[in-house]
Amino acid sequence: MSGRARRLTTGGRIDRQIPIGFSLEGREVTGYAGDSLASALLANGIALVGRSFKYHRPRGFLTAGNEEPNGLFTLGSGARTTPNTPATMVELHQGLCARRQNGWPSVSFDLMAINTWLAPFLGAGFYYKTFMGPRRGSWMFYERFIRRAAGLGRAVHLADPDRYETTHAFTDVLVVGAGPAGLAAALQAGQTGAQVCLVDQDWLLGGSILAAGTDSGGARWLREIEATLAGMPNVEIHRRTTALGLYDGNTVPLLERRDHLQPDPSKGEAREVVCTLHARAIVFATGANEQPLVFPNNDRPGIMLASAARSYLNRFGVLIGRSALVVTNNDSAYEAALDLAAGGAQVVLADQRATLDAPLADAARAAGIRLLNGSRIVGTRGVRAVRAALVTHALAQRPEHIACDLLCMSGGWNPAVHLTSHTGIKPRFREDIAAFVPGGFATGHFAAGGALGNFLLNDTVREAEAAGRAAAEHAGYSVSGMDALSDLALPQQAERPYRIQVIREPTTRTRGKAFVDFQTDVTTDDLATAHQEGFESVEHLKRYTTLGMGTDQGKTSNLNAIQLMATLRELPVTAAGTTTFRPPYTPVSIGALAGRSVGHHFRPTRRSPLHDWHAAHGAEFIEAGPWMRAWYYRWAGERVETAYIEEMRHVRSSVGISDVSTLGKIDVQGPDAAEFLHRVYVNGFAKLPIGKARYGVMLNDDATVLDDGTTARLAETRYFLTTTTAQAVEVLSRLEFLLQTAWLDLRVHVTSVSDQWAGMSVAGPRAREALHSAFPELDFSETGLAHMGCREFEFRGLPLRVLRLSFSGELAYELYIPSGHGSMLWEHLLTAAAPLNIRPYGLEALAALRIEKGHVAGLELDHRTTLDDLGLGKMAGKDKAFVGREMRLRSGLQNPDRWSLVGLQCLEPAGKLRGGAILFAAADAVEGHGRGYITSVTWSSEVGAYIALGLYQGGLKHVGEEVVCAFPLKEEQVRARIVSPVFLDPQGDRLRG
Amino acid sequence: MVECTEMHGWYLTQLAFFRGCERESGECLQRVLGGDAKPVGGRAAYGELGTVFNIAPCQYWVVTHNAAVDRAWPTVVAPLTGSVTPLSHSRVRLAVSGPAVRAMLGKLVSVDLAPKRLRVGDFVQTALHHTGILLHRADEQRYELYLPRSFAASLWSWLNDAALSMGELSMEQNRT
Repeated sequence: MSGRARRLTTGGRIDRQIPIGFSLEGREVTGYAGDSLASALLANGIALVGRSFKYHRPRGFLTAGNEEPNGLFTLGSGARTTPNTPATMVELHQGLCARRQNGWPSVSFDLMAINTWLAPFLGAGFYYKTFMGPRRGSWMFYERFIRRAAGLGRAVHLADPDRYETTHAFTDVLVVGAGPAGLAAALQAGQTGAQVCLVDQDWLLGGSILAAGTDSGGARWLREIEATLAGMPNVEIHRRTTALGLYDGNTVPLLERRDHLQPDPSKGEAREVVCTLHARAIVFATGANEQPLVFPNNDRPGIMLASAARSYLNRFGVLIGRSALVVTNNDSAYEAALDLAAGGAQVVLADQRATLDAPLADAARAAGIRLLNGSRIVGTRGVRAVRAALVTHALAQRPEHIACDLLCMSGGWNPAVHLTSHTGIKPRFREDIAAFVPGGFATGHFAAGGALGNFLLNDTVREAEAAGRAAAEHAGYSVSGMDALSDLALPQQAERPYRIQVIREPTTRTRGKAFVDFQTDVTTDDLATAHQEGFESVEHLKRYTTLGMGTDQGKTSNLNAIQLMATLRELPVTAAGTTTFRPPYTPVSIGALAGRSVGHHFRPTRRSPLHDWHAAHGAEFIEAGPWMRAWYYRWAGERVETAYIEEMRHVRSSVGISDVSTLGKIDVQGPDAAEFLHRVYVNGFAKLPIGKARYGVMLNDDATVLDDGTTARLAETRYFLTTTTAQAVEVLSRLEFLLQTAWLDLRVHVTSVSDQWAGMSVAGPRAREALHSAFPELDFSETGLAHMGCREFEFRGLPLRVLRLSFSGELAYELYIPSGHGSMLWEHLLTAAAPLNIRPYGLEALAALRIEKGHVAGLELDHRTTLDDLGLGKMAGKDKAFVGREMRLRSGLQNPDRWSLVGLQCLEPAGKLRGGAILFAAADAVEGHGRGYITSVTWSSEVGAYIALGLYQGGLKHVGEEVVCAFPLKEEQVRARIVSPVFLDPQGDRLRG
Repeated sequence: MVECTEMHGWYLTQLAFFRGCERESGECLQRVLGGDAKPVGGRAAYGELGTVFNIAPCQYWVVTHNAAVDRAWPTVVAPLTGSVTPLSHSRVRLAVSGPAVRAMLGKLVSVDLAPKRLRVGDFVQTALHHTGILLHRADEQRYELYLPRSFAASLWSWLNDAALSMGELSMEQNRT
């Protein structure tokens, strides 16, 4: 587990005066302020940081950034466990608790490494081929074993105690990335007066400059520009913040990590914050990722990107190895080689190119670096750490064995084009830098620096200044006279053009695995297999081999894979295609996405104006959609199973009162309101008299039932329309849609007044007496307020609407009063009718009463049933037009064998019908989808049995037949008889009082 | 510190006018506002009798503290020209104020609250925790929220939660 890395006594951007203690698998380790978890581990000689995904090969850090494929750790413990976190992105803080992943029993001694020997059976797509048999469904058996053997860290099944936050923000110019390009762009845009938001995933600004020495020209420039930006009030700088994606309207979700603050959730402090930022213009200064080289056994601990070794050295003061071999195909690795040599390492630089840039070569030799040109690395030695490499080069006939404890590789740089690709613009391959650059930009989008394939610091700064100006101008700010900005001197750094030579050789099977994707263990052999089997397209290659599908999204593998596949297909890379990048750019926790929408804040709930009364008077509540509704009252029993039956009995025998405030209520006004309702409802409303109410049904365009309800005519041009609770919003939306698109000629206004009016239903044989007690001066007699009548009164100076209509089948009235006075009216009714023993009843009894009466409700109105299915076909006006009329006549909807409404009565004294039970004819085999199902069920004291409403093939033509009600979840089968859905008072005598 | 208070003693009525009734709507709104002030979308218009929010084409919310004015609307708008819909009981009106109010509202609504974008007197109809609301910037550090009544308790709790990190005494529990 120990490597040969050591912490230098000076240098870097860490504070050696502030030691920070943390633990690795329980072992106490110390780093310094400014360290990443990765640098602290390396400084402590811990080079083995995990086991690979499939083969469980020992792995070390490959990178020093967010593209890290190997060094994924599980952080925290207990409910605060967070798996799969790249240690390269974790800012070290006191008490950090880390564990390595994917080793059993441990990463250091991993028995699962046997997978290496099983490799011949674990090639690309192996599970598609191997685990499909011998029987259908075998995969389900194998899956758990495969998942256990492969994979990353494990999440815990405990509630996350931390707090996550979501916010919204707006800015003129968003600059993504605070490397040299981002800093220069932000400064330039900020100097126009634009509001600028500069974000970077790192806790330090500077990007690639951070990998250079602190005394470099770039570093001096960085200090100066950072100080300038800090003094600009219109420039917001967000460190530790990642732009996760780019969406329409320049919407960018930003993820800010605050773990280093050790936030206290009890104080409202969030661990992570997702900010939905809307920007007028965006500058992409996302930089580029260095790419690995592909050669046999290129994954041993101690093999890393050259830029990573340089970053660990110059930023964190960690010299990873003392004998370094640097292999490269481009110029950038020379900086790493020179810095490593200056840091005290013996360095050999193997350049694949035959001809070297003379000044670079001279500089290397002058630094004591042994330089090999025309070289190839053909293998490495070592198990838990690299010990040597085999290198061919121009001066040797046979591969030379070069001892090393650090192998740095550089396969060139690939711009981070992920965000620009999220807009749907595919990246474009540039042959001169052998990398993909953005294929274009949407309006208001700009880029600079590494993101465009410009890897020279001075050029980057100039390019970024232009991008910053353009972005500010796009956001509406004047940039005149700003062409020659730079109050700050450009970084004083001698630079030469970036040169790269990618040597594309035919990919052949190799001895030793040559990894292309380190995180998902995809090798060159896998690519060859995919090619042989026809999975040549980049998208197919990705899915067949899982290349690029790890949490790193192929940041270090896509480019090599595409180039290798192009070689296999004998195509130029430009013709080989590229993959599709999708958000998020880096993994994001579910907690951050959920924000505060957890627990009882998962969604908002609605309360009736009478909620507090119910709560104070023994109601148990139940969620009904967004509503909290009184389910039953304890006066009737402690358990719902018995309480609702008692409440039903009370309503049937005396009088009850129920809260119906949740019903949808729509104010319909206008000279054409009658015509409007006449068109909306299947039945006639044009001639509904003032003071009368009518039950109506409205259809969707396809003739399925949208909703039902009662509408009362209050005045010549005014109606009070009620809907079911569930469909209130949809009905209003539908009415508005019709008025705004189909019937522009109608002068009608519709307004939701659902929250304006509290509603209560007084039901039972003594309902009229109850109202008379409450309003002795008003006439509720048959002549005063007949069935389906409506009256508006004034009560205590308040408007009071009374509709005589019944959902329960009993004599009943619905009373509506402005919501703020709902409790007053409710209590008045209870007090006045107390001698009649009026009692409140809840939602369960309300629903059960309507089942007995055979009224359909939301469970039957599921947008699949038609008027005829529900036995309401006769309501439809024959000579009037209404929405859905023509579609209703389609033959499929007129089929007499459609599933239609029936009543069901349980035939077994001890049996119980269940909602959702599947209905079979008595002679049917009980399997499959049956002939229908139960929609609503209740115990009926009136019938003395469980009764139900259901939909059954052929409907009521099967009245009298026996059916089997199967409930597979409980392995129950109960016999029932098909009956009329109206179980109670079919003549309606009770509701007429 | 953010203070959140439920407001009482106000009346809300929706006045809506049919196409072609612009003259009538102008006369009606002039009664509220006086002078030549014309409400425009996104900006509240203030008058002696109340505040007018132009919430949609030919559709206005009138907020007044005068009960007599509120009761008079049905006599002012003829049924052939428009409609009057009382909504006082359909909304809960919250005043949210304090130095941290913008930061807190930034957690709640996807609205650019920058002072130069949402000026004093401006209003927007937006979503607060999946719920449609009207947000009115009543003063420099004071915003008023018109919430659907049935959602109010839930949203109150949501606001409380958002304010948790805003200071020692985040919200005053003035809800009545």
